[in-house]
Parts: sequence; C-alpha cells; structure tokens
Amino acid sequence: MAEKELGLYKLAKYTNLEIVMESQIQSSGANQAKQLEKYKKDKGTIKQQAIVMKIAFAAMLLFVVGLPITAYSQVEYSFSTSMPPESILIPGSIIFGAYFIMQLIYLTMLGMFAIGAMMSGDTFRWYETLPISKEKLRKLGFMTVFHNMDIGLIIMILAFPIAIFVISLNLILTLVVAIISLVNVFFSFSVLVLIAGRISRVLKVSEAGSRKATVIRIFTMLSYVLVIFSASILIQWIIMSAEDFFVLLSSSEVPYIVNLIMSLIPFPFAPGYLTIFIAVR
Amino acid sequence: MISVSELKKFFGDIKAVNGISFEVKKGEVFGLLGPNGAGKTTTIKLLLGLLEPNQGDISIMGLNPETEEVQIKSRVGYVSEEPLIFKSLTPKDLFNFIASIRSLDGEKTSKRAQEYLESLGALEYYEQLVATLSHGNKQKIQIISAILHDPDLLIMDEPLAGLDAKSVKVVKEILDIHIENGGAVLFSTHIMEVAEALCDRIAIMNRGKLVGIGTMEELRQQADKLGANLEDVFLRLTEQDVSVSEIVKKLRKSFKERN
Repeated sequence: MAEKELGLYKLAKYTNLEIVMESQIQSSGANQAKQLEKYKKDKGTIKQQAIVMKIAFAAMLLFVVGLPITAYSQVEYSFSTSMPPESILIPGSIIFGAYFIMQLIYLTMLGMFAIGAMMSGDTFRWYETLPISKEKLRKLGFMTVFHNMDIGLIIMILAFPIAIFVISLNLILTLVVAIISLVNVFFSFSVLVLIAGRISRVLKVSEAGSRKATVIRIFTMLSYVLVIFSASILIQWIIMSAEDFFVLLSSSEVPYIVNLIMSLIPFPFAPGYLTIFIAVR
Repeated sequence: MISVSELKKFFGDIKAVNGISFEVKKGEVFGLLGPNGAGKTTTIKLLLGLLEPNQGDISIMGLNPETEEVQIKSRVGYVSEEPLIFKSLTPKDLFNFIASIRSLDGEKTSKRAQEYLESLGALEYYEQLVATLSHGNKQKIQIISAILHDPDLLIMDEPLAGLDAKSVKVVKEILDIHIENGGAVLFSTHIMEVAEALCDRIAIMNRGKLVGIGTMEELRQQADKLGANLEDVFLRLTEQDVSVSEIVKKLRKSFKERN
C-alpha cells in the first residue's frame, strides 16, 4: 500500500532537523568529528537539540514579557497615586509599544537565523530535486520557520495575557490583551514571512554564492548574536528607566490631541493604549 | 527521453551554457564530459528545472521542465556529485520518507532498499545517521534514493566519486539493468575509462559549448584521432592536448635537472 502523502508541517519537521544538525556541525568548528561521534552514539541527539533550540528561542521571547509587566505595574502604581488617567496613557502606551516592537525585532531576527541556515545548506537543494511543486516548496520554507519557532510563537501569544491576568485578575482586560497579543504575533510573523520571501529569493540555489547572499548570511548571524547579547541589557534598561519615564511624562501636561493620535496608530501604540485605557477605567 | 535545442544559460558575463543541442534516446547511456567549469552541472540543473534557461528549448520525456517540473521529477532519479540527501535521518527513515514523498509502498520500498544496501555493502549502516557515514556510503544511499521509484530517466552527476571498486561494479550493473528495462541515463563524469566503458554516446563540453558528440568512433573522427582512446580524443577536442604535452615536457625536464 502506498505511503500517505506528508503534510507541510510534517515535511517541515525534516527540514527543521536538518537546519539544527547543520548549524550544530558548522558551529562546532574544529570539533566537528566529536559532534558526529555524539550523533553516532545517540541517534536522538539531533531531535533533543531541536527541542532545546525551540525552548531557547521561547525563553528569549518570554524574557521580553518583562516589559508589559513593568508597564502595567507602573500604570497601577501611578493610578493609585491619583494621577489623572490622561497622563498615564502616553508613557504606558510607549512602553507597551516598546514591547511590541521588541517582540517584532526578536521574532524577525530569530526567524532570519532559521531562514539563513535553511537556504544556505543542502536541505532545500535536495527538496528541489523531488517531485514537490515550487509553490509547495515556498510554503514549506515558511512552514519550516514556523516549525522552528512554534513553541516561541505560542509563548509569545500566551505569556502576555497570562501575565496580565496574574497581575490584574481582570477577566475583560485579559481577554482584550489575549486578542491584542494574537493579532500582534500574527502581524510580526507576517513581517517575518515578507522578509523571508525576499531573503529566500536571494539565497536560492542559483544565487547562493552571490555577494548579496553572503552579506545576508553574515547579517543574520550577527543579528542572532546581537539578539542574545542585547536581550538582558536592553530589557533591564527599559525596566529600570520605566519609573523615571512615567514621572517625566506624566508630570507634563499632555494635550488631548496627542492621546488621540496615539490611540490611532495601529502599531505599536494603539494596542497598549487600549490595554491601559481598560485598566484605568 | 531528453531533447535540448540551442540551450543558453548566462550568469552575468559568464556564458555557462552557450547554445548546446543534443538528444538522449531511450535505452542509452549518454555521457556528458568536460573539464572543470565546462558547464556540465549547469546543464544538468537546467534539465531538472533547478535553473531557468536564458534561451533555448528543453523537453524531458515530452515535458517542459519549467512548467511541468513535478511530473518530470516524479519520473526522474537524480544523483548529484555531493550527496544532497537528508543527513539528520537514518537510511531507514530516509527511505520511508522517500516512499511517502513518491507515494510508494512503504514495506516494499524498505525491502528493496535493504537489498540494494546489501549489494553495495552498506546494510550495516541501515539504522545509523547518514551524517555519520563516509562520503562513499552517503553516495551509495543517494544512489539508492534515486532509483527506488524505478525512474524512466536517471541523471547522474559524478555518481561514482568516492565509491570503492566493488560498489562501482555494482552501480554499473544497476545501470545496465535500468537500460535493459527501457530506461535512459545521462551520466556526467571526469573518469574517461568509466565513460568509455559505460556510455553508448558521449557529448564533450568546453566553455559552455559542445565540442564533440557521438559514439566513440564518431568522436575519434571529429578529433581526427583514429584509434585513440577517449582521453586523447577528449584532450584534442577541448584543445588541451598541446598544453598537456608542454606540461609533461616541463615536468620531465625539471625532474632530470634535479637528478
């Protein structure tokens, strides 16, 4: 009996394993033989590493949730000191906005790392010789990025509303934040997909050795390192400065029109504005 | 099986393939020879639809690689110079994966794959990750992966690179059986002896152009080297015979001076 045709998600699992293995072998440098010996001893090593990588990505994305938690705590504190809601909305929206922007940047950088690894190796070169349509291959590329980051994406969607629920115990607010979180992650992933489309055209087999492709590969590697090292520093800085920021902005008079403009900018301010608006009303 | 007419592929100013035409018939092994950078691999990629030509027509079993690439790839087996197969899987998982991709019977495919592995002396690696195997063993797995679906056409780019003598003999037998069953093979190699022994017709490429095509006898006539072996014919047609004899002279002179 003929084997069942594999769905895109299942196919992406194979590509993801190849990416993980190739990146591990490449990064082990002079210890490649040792790495291969490890694979020889335990066939499951690559699968374990793929899961560890997913968890590491998820942890990095989870780390960013510190920002809205700080923003929300600051909003509650400012509100408890009888500060007018109009003065809290602007700094709160900006910090929430910073969270959404960082979420987008992190997702893009981590996603680009996966795309770079995927398009540079032999993974897709073999797929291209199998009876799979170009359209399906393109979808498979995106699905591989999704497979590579699925736990991270789930964390990104759920962490924000869960954190807000734990702090506020407000069901309506949690529901609104959950919708905002879902829409934002969808938006961020769409941006990643758009960038991926452009990169994959440059890194395709026929142009894999071009200067442009090399620059993109170096950039993605640097981005990955940058994301890892900047994570704690940047987030700590924003969290530490949040209080001063609130004091500075809330002490000055905010014209009504600024609040209105903030609430109308769909990304990144309006979602934060809506969250704080519900929290303070 | 394959019909190529006035095919051109340029990468910027580099004319990788510059107006070549040839045909590969059913039941023949067609050799594609040429020095490094002659355009052989580019031609193969064009045939598989991995690259788009700048000009010219390609027909594979009456199909167009640009628009009907899935139908072509389901009837073609491709072996590349470097093993492209998934290396994070064991051969066992890899063959199961191929069975799913090509809609083959899983059990039969697995049995067949094991038979091939045994004949190539690689059955012991059936459950070992491909990444941990030697180049030659990876190449064996790749060859098996390319023939499991009984393709009508085999396109092989340096398939024997890294294989031991016994495996080369077995692969040659596999190709013979494939031809006996009405298939065709397009075969690219640098090893002249292999080409001479295996191929019914040979095309010689140099700097993107075909400089000779035909049976061994026809090539000898084209090179004006009656009775010569393929190596001499090849060097004449690719205009390397003069430079090679100069190099040989220089080497001998230098060796004599040292002693």
